Amino acid sequence: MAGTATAWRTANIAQNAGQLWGLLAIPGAGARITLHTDGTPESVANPTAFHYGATQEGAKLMLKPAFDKYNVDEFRAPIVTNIGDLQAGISAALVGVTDMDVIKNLLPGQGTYATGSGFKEVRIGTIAIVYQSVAHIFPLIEDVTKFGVWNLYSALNDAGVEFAVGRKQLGFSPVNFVGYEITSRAATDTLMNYWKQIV
Amino acid sequence: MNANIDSLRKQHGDKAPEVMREIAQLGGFGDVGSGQGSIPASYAGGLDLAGVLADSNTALSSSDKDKIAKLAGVTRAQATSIVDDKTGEQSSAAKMNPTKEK
Repeated sequence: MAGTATAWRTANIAQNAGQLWGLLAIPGAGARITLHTDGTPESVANPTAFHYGATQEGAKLMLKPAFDKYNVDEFRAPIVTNIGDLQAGISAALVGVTDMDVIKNLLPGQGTYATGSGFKEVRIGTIAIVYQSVAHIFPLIEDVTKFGVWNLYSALNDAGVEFAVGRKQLGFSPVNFVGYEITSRAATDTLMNYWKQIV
Repeated sequence: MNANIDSLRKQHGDKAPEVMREIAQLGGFGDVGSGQGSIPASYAGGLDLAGVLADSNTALSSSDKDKIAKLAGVTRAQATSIVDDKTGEQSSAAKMNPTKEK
């Protein structure tokens, strides 16, 4: 009888600078956002793709289910469970805090952007909330010609804008893109897609 | 390879919202509308058609792909050439010097 081959998976690691993109086209059934060969969103398929810029420490990609557990008197451990809550998100701290195009995309339901002779501004009040397709795209360690993608189909930043201004520090504004379900999609594909390119 | 309200308005005029709803339904993007859980017709990012129309996508029937392509004024061949582009499999060095690899 033979043993079983181990698989340490030390090539399947995340250790690369990625890119945070927003205002992407929403992918359809069975599809993923279309990338160019350099890993950026393909421009014809994603004409409004917006790069959010450099970050303080990369990005944190999160998908967390909360399992509700149900017990009966006759057994000690739970006997059944279901997913009561599901959170998906991409968080980072952005350096481009004086770029008004960045700021306007971080204030859904609040910020109205305008530009004219000598200024760019974002005014804060009440406007319609707009969601956007957001993705973090990163080169793979296991194959330097391939990319991994964490794509939230419909998301918005719920962290607002907050940054420090000082002589001895670099101001970063934390962002937290929270994924929302497009409930009219297929039940197995309403929230997001985590995928990687393969040969 | 993108369907959004502006691009569809150029082709279909006032019928653009209706066309966008049909494309979204055929392509499994989700409903286009103003309710929660829907995609607003005004969403600037639009719908990625390259992925759904590519030959490698088996989630849609060929006839649905043809309908989407016709409504959006694009070709399936173009979608396939974008999505199934194999130049991504070249090493970084080969991408920088493609003639040498040939």
